[in-house]
Amino acid sequence: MEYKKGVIDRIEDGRIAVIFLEDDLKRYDLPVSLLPAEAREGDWLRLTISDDKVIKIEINKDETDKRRKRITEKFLRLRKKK
Amino acid sequence: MKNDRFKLIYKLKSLLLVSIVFFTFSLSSCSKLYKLPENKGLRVSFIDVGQGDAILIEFNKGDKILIDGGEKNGKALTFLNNAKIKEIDKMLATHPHSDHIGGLVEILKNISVKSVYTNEDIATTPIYEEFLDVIEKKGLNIETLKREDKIKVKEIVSLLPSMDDIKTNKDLFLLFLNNDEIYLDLDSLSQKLNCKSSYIAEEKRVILEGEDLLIELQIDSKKIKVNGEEKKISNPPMVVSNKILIPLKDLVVKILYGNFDYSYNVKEVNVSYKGKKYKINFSNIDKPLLAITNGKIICTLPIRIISEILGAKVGWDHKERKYTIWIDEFKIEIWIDKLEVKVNDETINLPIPPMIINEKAFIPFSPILEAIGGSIEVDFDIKDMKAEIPKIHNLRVLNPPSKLFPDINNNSIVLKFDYNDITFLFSGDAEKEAENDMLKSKLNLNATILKLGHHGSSSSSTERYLNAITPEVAIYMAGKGNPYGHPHKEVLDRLEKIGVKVYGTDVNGSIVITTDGKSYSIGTER
Repeated sequence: MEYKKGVIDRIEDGRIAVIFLEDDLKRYDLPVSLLPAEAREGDWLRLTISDDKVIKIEINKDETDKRRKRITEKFLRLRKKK
Repeated sequence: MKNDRFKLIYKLKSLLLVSIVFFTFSLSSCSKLYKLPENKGLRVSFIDVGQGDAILIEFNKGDKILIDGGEKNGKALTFLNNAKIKEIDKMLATHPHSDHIGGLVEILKNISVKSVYTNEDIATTPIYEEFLDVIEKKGLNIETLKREDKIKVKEIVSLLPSMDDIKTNKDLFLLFLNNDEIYLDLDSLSQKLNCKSSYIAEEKRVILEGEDLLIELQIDSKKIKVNGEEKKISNPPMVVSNKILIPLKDLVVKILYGNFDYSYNVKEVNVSYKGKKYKINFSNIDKPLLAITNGKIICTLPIRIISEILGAKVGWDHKERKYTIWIDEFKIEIWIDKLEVKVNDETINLPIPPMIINEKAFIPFSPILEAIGGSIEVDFDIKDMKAEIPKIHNLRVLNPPSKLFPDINNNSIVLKFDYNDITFLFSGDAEKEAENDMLKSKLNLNATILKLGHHGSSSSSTERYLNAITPEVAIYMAGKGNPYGHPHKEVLDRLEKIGVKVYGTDVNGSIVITTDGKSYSIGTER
């Protein structure tokens, strides 16, 4: 059993969540029913993985906030002023 | 009329600026070669990147635009490399999901990109952060887009006819002067400029009217009016063989800010007559003038050649605009602007009429010499010919609206591109909500070719949206056996019901549309 950080890239057709792991870009396509009800696109997660299977998913709010802040700053820096 | 008497060393490739080079490329996943079809003006490649979008828009000459890049799986980059794309002028990420931006990261790292466009949404994923990091590292900015924005893209249009035009268009008339001037007939020119033309015969006035361009010319006059402003050109328009011929040089360079170039070299002219051969030196007389019409290349020579070389006597009848030439037992009568010539009262026909240019007469001598048992050989070389003008097109942004949706897919940049009569609508991953909003906003959605929203998912492509577009062809971009079931059957059924031809990258591989702006053809990898 191991713990990994992952992020919901997108939820396809409201049914399947596409989750990328932080380190090696490995991805999981999981039914949304396995996700916490409040999970949204862009949320970072704490995944419990056993035998390459995700057995538990928790929302990692701190990680989400940290990344969102950092990436938003980068985006705003790069965005051309109109 | 035989023109094979002319020995023409004729560098067609450089003359006509036709790209005869076919691109071949192999796909990373298989060794099979797919030949990209020849670009007839615009080529749009819907690249098979598996589950994801990547669309390359290329003018035959001009900007290269990339919309999305699929996942970070090397496929879009491989396609670009094999198509020998060295630079992307405009890169656009419709929205920040990995199946649209992943491949863009690889392309940014490996190919020069001039500008990047996205919407205002961000993602918190490592791939999106890498996308921003590489943009920053390359010293680029991001320009964000919303409805009513336009991306200006440049096409370089050659005013010279293509090889196909020369072969098939009997009405085409192209005339090369030896003083760096090329004349093109008015109809062909107005087609190339995509504008209306008219000729007021009694005033000898020519009018070319485009979207924001009004050009007025006068036959035999060097005055030209451009949007009401009077300017001067170095050669006047003229009428030859009932064709209105427009000089291109100053029009291209001074009026339309394009490039004009042309090198003309007459190597040798050999005349044989009565068993004797005469080599003509052009150092002190006018060089031959060359015309392309009726699918043929015709060389006309100054009248002095015959009189001086063959020792003929030449008379000029000003009233009749007629030359009479006496050589030995032959009496030859030649009328300016007339196709008929008389040799000892027998009529022969010329391919183009004799003409007076800059007060000098040029005659298509070959058939005349043949009629009196002689012949003529012209060895010349035309190369580096260029008459190109820049033309700006708009890619119009139809979505997202200024008030964004809560959902990332719905904020996808939706683009409309009208390439003359053939129109494209690229829907990104826009879903029903965005479609309904575009419908509600009464945007003109009508398009010939539709890139279906969201990989053919039933989240998108509502009946109302499709009916507003009324496409002839719809393309979805999806990976074979993708876990989301794209394309969805409901969408395919809707398209079938309204008789739309459907292509998909899962079935067809890469799908390449080429168009000249009037008609289009579709090539597929499989």
